[in-house]
Amino acid sequence: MADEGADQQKGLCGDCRHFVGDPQALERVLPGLRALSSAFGSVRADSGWCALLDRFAVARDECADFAGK
Amino acid sequence: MINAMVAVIALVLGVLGVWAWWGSMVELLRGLVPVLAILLGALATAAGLSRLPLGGAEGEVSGASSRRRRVSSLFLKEDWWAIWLGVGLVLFALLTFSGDPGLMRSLAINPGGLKWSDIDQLGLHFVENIHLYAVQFSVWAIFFGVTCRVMGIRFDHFLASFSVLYLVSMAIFAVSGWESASSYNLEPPLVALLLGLLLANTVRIPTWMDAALRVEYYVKFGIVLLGATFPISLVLSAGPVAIGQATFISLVSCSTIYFVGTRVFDLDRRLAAVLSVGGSVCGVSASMAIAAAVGAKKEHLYTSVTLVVGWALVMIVALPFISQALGLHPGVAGAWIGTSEFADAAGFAAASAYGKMAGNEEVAIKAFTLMKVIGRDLWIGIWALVWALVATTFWEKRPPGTKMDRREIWRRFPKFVIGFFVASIIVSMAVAQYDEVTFQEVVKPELLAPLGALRGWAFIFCFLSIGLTTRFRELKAVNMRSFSAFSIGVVINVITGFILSVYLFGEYWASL
Repeated sequence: MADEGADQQKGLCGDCRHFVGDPQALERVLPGLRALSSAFGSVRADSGWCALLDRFAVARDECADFAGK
Repeated sequence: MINAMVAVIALVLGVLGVWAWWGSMVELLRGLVPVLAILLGALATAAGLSRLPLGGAEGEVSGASSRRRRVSSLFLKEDWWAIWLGVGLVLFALLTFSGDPGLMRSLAINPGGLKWSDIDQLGLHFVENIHLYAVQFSVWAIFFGVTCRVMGIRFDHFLASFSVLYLVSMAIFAVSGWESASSYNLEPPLVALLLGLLLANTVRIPTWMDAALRVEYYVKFGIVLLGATFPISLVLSAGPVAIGQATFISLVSCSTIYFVGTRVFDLDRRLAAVLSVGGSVCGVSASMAIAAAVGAKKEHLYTSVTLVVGWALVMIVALPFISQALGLHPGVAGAWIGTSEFADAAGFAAASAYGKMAGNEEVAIKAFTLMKVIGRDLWIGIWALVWALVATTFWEKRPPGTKMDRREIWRRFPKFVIGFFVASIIVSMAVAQYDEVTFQEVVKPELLAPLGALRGWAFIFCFLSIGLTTRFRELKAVNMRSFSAFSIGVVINVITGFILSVYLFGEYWASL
């Protein structure tokens, strides 16, 4: 996780170019996910995968590594 | 010269024909109107839907700047669509039940109940009912195709893919309608699964076929329809027992996988957490629900996918045959499968298969639903919140800005369960006015049986999709430590579930 220097811009993960939140894109990132689950389901809510930090997060998260789309 | 003569003769004959057969011509034109309207509508739908600016990335982003153009999750999550379509179909069935009950029977046509002994009988059935199958296919294609388009899936791909799915499903039902099918264990769930697996792992399935292979969507829609044949009194009376049994087993297996994983096999605690809910609550869906709460890596979720899919497949095939060998009552077996299987779709396949083997599919599915859907699925949001609290309280400090609070329980609530309850309440109230004789002789065959048959179609789409999407080459190889930790949880689920379902609550589940 990047540090939180005051000069760094923060933004929501859902608006970040590194965040994979689109269900079809997420199913491509995790082949096999569709076999017994789905990225279109309610239980995923707004979770997605950060391609930069390789970790799952929610679209409402904030991050110092934010990069606008 | 000859051309001119032919033209004159044709014109004269044409004018005379219009004068002589005016009535027939008007009939022909009138008959062509709906055909042309359908063709035009289908073309316009295909063309228009492909350009709908809905679903996909635009709809999913939820940041502040994107909120204005965010499409409501009511139209972007398959759970909600399962409710709209399922409850809508139940209401339609209730409306037509009082007016034209034959309509639902026609819509729910299925070759599975034919009991044919001669292939000509089967052929005759299709010849006589081809128009009903055409209507049924159109209804399914519009139901699922349009809603998937709204969620961001290409309509043309969906239509092509669903056509194949529907035809293969029809063939599977046709085989199961053979009078000797049960002696060869040709139960539709198992045939669909094994055929799908065979195709997916021997033939390269084209990418466009993926569009209609929506395992979870079909099973959620089927569960909502299941609610219509599930008396609400049974849900309320049996629910607490199911919740008690399922919660006990979930807590034991979840904590075992986590502690064995971290203490014995030295797994990353995020991986252990993701595996623990995957193996105790609701498979990959539960793993995905807590992945953000614990900050899991892609590899962690991928490991869960492989282990859940692998074990789920083993149990889909093994549990029905073990139940058969032990001569378990379908209700008892359904409850046991509900505590052993992690994924809804896989569990329904196993419960449905054994129910058909034992001659009482309805009871097996009811017991499974109570145990799995009511007893385990409902609580996914709470598990996500608990793991978020564990991560923030006992693990390293979570990154600032992470937003997990009690609203997570609702955000991750499997909303399709609401549809199950709504359908159950609506139908229970609507049929309460009938006496027992009318219920058995009219309500069951004219209302509940067609809804059950439509649910059967949805489930067969689901089981076939499981097979077609399970491609072993796509799964990630997992290490022995992860496999061992997860497998210990599986063994606990199976053994504890068996003891509780067969010995402690056996009489209860057998009396459903």
